Amino acid sequence: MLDEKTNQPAIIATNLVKTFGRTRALDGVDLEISAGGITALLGSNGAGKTTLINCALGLTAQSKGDIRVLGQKSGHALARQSTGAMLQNSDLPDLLTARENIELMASYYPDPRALDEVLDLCEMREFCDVQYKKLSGGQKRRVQFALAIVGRPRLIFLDEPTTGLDSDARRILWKTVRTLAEQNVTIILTTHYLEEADALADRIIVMNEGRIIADAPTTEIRDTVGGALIRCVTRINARQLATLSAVRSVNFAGRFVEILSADAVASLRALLEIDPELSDLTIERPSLEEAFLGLTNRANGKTDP
Amino acid sequence: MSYSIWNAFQKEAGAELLKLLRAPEFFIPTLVMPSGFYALFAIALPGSNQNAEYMLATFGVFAVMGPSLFGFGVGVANERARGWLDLKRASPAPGIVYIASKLTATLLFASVSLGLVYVIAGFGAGVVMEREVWVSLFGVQLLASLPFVLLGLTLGFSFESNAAVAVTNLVFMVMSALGGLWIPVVIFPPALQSIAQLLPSYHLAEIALFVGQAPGTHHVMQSLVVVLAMTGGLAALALFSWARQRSS
Amino acid sequence: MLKRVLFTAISVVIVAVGTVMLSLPTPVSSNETTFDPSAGLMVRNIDVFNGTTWLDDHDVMVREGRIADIGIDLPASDDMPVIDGQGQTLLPGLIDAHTHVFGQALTDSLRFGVTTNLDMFTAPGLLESNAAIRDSLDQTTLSDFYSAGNLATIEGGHGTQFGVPVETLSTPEEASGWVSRRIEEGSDYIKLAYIPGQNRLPSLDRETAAAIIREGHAQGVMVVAHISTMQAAQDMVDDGVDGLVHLFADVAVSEDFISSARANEIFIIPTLTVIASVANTQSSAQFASDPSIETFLTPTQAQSLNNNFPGGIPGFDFDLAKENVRRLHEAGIVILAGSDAPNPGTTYGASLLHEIELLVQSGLTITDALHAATRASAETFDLVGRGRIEIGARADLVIINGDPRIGTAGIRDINTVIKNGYIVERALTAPRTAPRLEDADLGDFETGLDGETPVSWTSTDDSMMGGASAAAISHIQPGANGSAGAASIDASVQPGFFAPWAGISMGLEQTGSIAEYDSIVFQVRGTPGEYSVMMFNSTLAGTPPSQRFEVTNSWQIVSMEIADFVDFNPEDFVGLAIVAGPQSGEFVYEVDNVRLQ
Repeated sequence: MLDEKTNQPAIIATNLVKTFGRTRALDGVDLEISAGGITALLGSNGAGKTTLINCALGLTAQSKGDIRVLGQKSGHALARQSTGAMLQNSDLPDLLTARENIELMASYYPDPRALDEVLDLCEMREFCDVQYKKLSGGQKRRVQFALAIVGRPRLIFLDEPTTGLDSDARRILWKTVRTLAEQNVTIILTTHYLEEADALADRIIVMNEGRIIADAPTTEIRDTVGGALIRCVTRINARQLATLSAVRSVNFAGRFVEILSADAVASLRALLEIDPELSDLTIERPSLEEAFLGLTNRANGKTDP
Repeated sequence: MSYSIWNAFQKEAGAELLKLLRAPEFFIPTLVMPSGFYALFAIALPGSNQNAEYMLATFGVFAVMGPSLFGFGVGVANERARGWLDLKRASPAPGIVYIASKLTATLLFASVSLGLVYVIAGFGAGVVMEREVWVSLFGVQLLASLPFVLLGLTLGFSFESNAAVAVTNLVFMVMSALGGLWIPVVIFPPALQSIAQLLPSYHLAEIALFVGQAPGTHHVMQSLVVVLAMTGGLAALALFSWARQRSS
Repeated sequence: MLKRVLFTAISVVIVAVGTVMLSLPTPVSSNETTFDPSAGLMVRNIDVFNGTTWLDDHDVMVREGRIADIGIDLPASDDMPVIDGQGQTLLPGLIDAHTHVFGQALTDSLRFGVTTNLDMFTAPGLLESNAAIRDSLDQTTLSDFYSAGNLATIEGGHGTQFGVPVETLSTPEEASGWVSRRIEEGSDYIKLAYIPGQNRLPSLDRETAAAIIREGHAQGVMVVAHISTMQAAQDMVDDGVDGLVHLFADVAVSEDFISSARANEIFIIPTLTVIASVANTQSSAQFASDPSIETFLTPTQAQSLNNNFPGGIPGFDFDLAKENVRRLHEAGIVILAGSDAPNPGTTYGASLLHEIELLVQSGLTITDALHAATRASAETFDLVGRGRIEIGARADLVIINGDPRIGTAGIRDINTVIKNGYIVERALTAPRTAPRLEDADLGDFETGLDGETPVSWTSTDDSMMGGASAAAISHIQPGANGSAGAASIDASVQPGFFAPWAGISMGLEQTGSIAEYDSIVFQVRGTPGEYSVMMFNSTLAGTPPSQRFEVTNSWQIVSMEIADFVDFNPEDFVGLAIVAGPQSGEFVYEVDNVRLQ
């Protein structure tokens, strides 16, 4: 059993590279995630999120570089004893009930939670004795989540945990995740529900084409990337808009234009100068989606000057 | 830690059994087919008592081959495809528990299937043997499941689930028919007899025939050596296929 | 919950499989015979002749084929079968020191208590695995035997007239190689025939005989001699022979002979039975009519005992022979009991009992005669564990009713014979009258060689007796007179065996009686020549009864009266043969519609 008191980082990746044939799924990733807290991994499909998790879990061997989990080599038995996982495509034995599946997974761990505790935590009592194959997609995901936490792990990987879940189920899961985080469990989740990352995560790591392009606390990401989202109706055209002060990106949505600005005040002054007839103006903090889009665009070279 | 492994094994073995028992549409035919075939060949078709004893030895091997090949071949392939094996690998589940529990379930299943054949042999086909011969034959046939388990593992690790089903079926048929498990090899034309020599099912049947004191000469030492060599080879192959699919 | 499943499943399977395993059928243990040999055997309160002396009213215990204990009131386990020996005598299994093993010799001699035979000339083929067989203590219906194998004789000499191929020799230089080959074939000792001065048959000369004796000794075996005159006997004794397998009956034994015999420590097997037969005394016929003997004789044995040598042969004076025996015995020369069966006037087993009586008639005490038939032969030929009743000896035993020391009944009334610790079935198994053979149609060859009848047709030739002939058979179509098929035979008759033959034979699975039929009829055509039909009894010894017939190129019907087959017992029909020979040549012929009428 790993010593709980050490405050070593949960994951340290050094120059991690993974190639599949000619594809560089991971292209030199450096990462350090400390114990406790919820970290979200963001990125489009193929960005390398799942590959990174697989490396951390020891399911895939890296081509180059190093990754240490809970102070151990990735995939080491000691590390696995303190790790739980909910993978993107793992289905459980069809003919076993949820209860049986949880009991089975529990038996692999040295100090698992009691079955009832898990059932209650995940609010699964009503369907825990149904055979897995008869559960809805969402219910299946929830059982998988239960399997990730039953071992009382210190580190949990959740790969797209709420895909296919209805909002109620999602809410329950979020609640459990937050409870666990309060118990100083390190949680790493991937999602492309940015709302989810925004709601849960303390830290966001953005990946693109095998590299980390952003890695900061959630608020900072928002701040760094966005500043403000200015929505208005204006006659100024895109090109001109793009040149305005502190404008990060421009997006037309219907009759509105949405302008991501690093400095709301500066951009607004510039806008009003050109188009005093600007109407339907709102200013808000951009959602992570908008921030993320801006980030990715910038990384891909679609940056504004 | 040994407590946990033992505990994990018991639960996983129980889970394997549940998975089996909850799929009656699969396990009942697999259970009953060898005895059905045996009843057909040894009782219904014209043949003397001697044939029934001979066929007990060969059909017994047949009876353990099914659960071993399919349980491991198709079972493993399916669990791989579902991603369940990955989840187990990410967890602290010891790999040996997986194999051991599947093996336990397979052996229990095979025992019942084998037992049914024996019931028909003793009470239907009129086979009479010394008690020690009955028991030692049963034991040898159960042991015969091992090479097939290893073969099944190789198939399970090498093929996707649909392909695995087809390939396992093919292997099963070939091993049974060409290995002389239904009809004695001596009846085959020489070309087919040579092919039989390459199959573990043939050699395992020879050993069983010897232990069961069936009529005819059976080169048991030769077959034993071949079986041991094949088992070693299959173990290596299984290990290799496992390693190969692991890194992909 | 999961664990419970596992343990429930394991328990259920173990119980189910266990129950099945325990209830599967196993072979019923073989018939409990009244005497279970593995439990041994106890003979109580019997008078025992142990090969040398008498132990009155003793117990003898047999275990695992050997004598385990001898004494008074021996302790034994409850499950050991007990024979009450009150009023009976226990003898060691008898040893016939001079026989010739052919046909039913080993079964017939055993039924009369002769558990070991010393053969003095037989076909060497019988010797191959004999050593292992006679050492075995398994249950058997056969007497054990030791053998000289091929005897040493000159070409055309004594021994060559019986149809068994014999390797002859004529010079001393050949002796060494000849002896080695005999030993390699399995001969336990060497026998030579030395009959100079007889104008009936040629003989080895003395130098060669002496060389054989030397070589035999050099290569570690005893050498015995067949002689019929005192002169010949003297020559052999002087040349170092170990023993004589006959006693001469031409002249009274001389003192010189007696002292040289004693000095050289030779042994003599008088074979009074055959001398009596040659001298035409009818002694054996009388002996054979005794009910205690007659009941157990096969027809062939009875026939043999009742035969006598054709015409008296000069030089065989029975009274002289007996007198010689007496004088030699009194002089201390070792006398061994041997019957020379199956010569006319003798038969296997029974004749040894006769010989014992003749030895007593010659002046030996019954004890000495019994000794001559047991321990004496065993010691002379170094037969370990035989001819004696002592702890560790083989359990080869004879129980006689009554006490042979009283009266002159000898040991004719045998109660029980025990071989290797097992009781021997003495009664003749083949019923004297076999069931009538219902199906008179022995071979129509319609669809093949073997038809519906319980009859099988095979090729037959004298190669089984060491001859050089060969036959091949096949089925051909059509057959005679429009029938569907016939048997075709390709026979090559070659000299070698003294009565060569090659052809086709038919055998029945079980003997049948054809006494109600008159004749055997069949159709034949083929290479012209003289052919024979042979008829077989189950107790065949020697040449089968036969009749000749002519064959031509066209189909002929041949009909033979069954009564014409001399010495054929129609009540005991087991097969027949239709063969070419003894004329040499290549014969191709066809046979069809073989039937009885």
